[in-house]
Amino acid sequence: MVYPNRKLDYGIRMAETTKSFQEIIFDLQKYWAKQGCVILQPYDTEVGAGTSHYVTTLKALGDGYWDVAFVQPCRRPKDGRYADNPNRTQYYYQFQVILKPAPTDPQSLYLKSLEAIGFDLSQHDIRFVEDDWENPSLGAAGLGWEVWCDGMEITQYTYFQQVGGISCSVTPVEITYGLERIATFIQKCENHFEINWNGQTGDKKLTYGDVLKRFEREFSYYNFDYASVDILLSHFADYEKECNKLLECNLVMPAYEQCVKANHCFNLLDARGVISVSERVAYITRVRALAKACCQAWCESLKGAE
Amino acid sequence: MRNELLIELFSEEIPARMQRQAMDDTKTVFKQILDENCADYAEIATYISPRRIAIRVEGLENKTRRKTDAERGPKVKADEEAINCFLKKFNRQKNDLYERDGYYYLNTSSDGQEISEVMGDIIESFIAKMPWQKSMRWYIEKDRRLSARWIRPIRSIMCVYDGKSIDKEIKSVGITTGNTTNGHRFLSPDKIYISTFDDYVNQLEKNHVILDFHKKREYIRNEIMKTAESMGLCLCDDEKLLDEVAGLVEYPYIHIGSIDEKFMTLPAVVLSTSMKVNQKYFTLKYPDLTIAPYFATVTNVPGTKVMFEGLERVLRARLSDAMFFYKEDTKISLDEIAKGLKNVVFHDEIGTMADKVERMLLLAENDDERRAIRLCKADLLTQMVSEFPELQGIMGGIYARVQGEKEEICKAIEEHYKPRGANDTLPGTDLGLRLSYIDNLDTLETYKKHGITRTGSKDPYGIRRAEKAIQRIQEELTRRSRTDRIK
Repeated sequence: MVYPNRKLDYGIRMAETTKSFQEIIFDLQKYWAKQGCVILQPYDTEVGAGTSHYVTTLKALGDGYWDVAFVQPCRRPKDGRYADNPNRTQYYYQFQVILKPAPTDPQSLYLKSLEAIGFDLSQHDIRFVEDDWENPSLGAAGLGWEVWCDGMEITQYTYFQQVGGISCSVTPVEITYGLERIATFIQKCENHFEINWNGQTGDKKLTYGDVLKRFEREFSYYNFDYASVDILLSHFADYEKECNKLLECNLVMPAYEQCVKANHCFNLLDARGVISVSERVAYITRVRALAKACCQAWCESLKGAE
Repeated sequence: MRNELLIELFSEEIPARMQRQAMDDTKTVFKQILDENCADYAEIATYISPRRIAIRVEGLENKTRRKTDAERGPKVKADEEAINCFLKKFNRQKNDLYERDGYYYLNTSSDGQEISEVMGDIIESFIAKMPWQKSMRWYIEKDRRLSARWIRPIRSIMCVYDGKSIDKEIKSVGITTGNTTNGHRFLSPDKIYISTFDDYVNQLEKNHVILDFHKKREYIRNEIMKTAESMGLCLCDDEKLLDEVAGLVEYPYIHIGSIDEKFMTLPAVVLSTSMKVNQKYFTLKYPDLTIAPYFATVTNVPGTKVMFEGLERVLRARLSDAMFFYKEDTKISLDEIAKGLKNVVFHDEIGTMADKVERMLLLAENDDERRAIRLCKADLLTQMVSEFPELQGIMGGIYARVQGEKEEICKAIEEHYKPRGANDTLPGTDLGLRLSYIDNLDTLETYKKHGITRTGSKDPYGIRRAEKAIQRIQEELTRRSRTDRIK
């Protein structure tokens, strides 16, 4: 059987223009705003992913409709490389979209968003590659895909099935764009630090490296070598204590914020190298217990409101 | 009257690794359901592509057979009211009852039905009974409830009997069946109207969807081989990768790209593993079996210059990472790295890898064995093995060679995780055999001492694999010592 390599004529091909890092963000915000999303600002405490934002975790539970989109800076202390590896950093940006409930064809909405930021889909090979996602600290899990573009993963696409150990009664879809990856792709850069951030040329051009290289280096030293372990340990205990106390006071969102802080604290301790493999299980269990309690309290509060 | 039935469940992308099994499971389950519904047919065949599962039933009788069922009622000892209720439900008399195992039963029978009438139930049953490793539910907005479980959201269902559309509402997924499907997601996404299976296959192919999984898979293999041969290269066979890659395209386009010279200094196994695991690219080799600076890949749309550049650029990023790991790892000696083994857990209740190494040393019989034991677990702490766990042992051997250890020791470390399973070969060298033996022996004895066992069906710690390994190694060691004595 022979399947000839068909050369198709797509008609007039859009010349792909290059976009700066900030333009990509503006266009994504514009596109999702047009779809009816609330365009939020990032969660202002340290999180490992946009998923940890309460508008994802807490709002994924319950029956309410909820469409949001926002940029989220993410901190993953263990991923730091002292700015020596330009493709792996402990701080990076995601663009997070939550559509709850997932509409009839969210994949098409997503693909159109790629066109909105300048991808000519006829010139690229886009694939949905199986990837089921799990966040053990948050007790969250979902099924979905990594979206690949010409062999590179640019987005995580997940249908949440449970959060905080509780099943979602209205299935949300989470679309998480890897902004650096997308930018290197669109701008044809060899690595993240070369990304043109402000779209200027010559002296006025500012790259991702110009903006964040020092931040990356200094924080890698902090995360791996200099963070005070005793302070972090006592912080973790404090966040845990305060979270439980706030839950008793029925203040779910402040309690959840303490849980998120505890999680970041654990990530710092882990990066610092003071958590043994067996202890890690215990810490994750403690954070998950906090997350679960917050999610349960959240669900209870929704029942009460009806 | 016998006619052809064609069903298609059109969904979002089905995981590539599950497609083969799903094709078989579909056949098994659908057969079972047809039998349960007393539907007669000649043949059934199933098909799968990334976004669709299709079932073709040839010679399906247009009416189901008369069905007899035994309905179980209340216990014989139950009171009058319960028995009367049961009788009333089926509109029968007391003398229709018969007893079995202490219960009352009624024989009910239903007339055969038009196959089109029961098609809704048949499809509902199929969705409910299909076994997926993992499954999900999605929200049906118009009904304000969650759907039944399926691997990914179902978007449409096609049901055509005798060339005509059967329209039934499948409540569990909120979809009404029809006679349409869609072509390739990007190349031909529009709606297509279907009447027969042959029509289905032809129209799908015209719309850039290859329905026959095996044909698609073999086409990919042959095309890569042909193109490679024309460049004086050969394809490194990889059945699992071929399965996966086939399951990721609706219509395959083959490309060969090149690898930058500067990366060819990396060990071949690192290049190969990074390309396969990160990018799903096939390795190509020269006739003398050395790795070539080329890779083969399959895309879902025709290649463009922009795309080829992208495919090569992303590989450069991945191989740059691999070079970074290699450089960082080789900055420190394995002895130095091995000091960190006290922080690597062997088993939660037993202890660390450092403990294991100490125990293994007690089983050593000479200096070479001791040296190999001291170094063989160090690579678990390297960046390369953290990134590619499948390279454990292999990287240890490579890094040992880099730092100038005896060749026998390097080889032993490299192969000491063999045999990885029943189909894997044993370590080739004597030292490698001994090292694997000592490693597995320690694992088994230590588990035994701490009461960790396996059952016939549950063996989370791989005890059976270790037992088999020891058995095979003992046999081989005996065979070798006998041969030595003869010499």
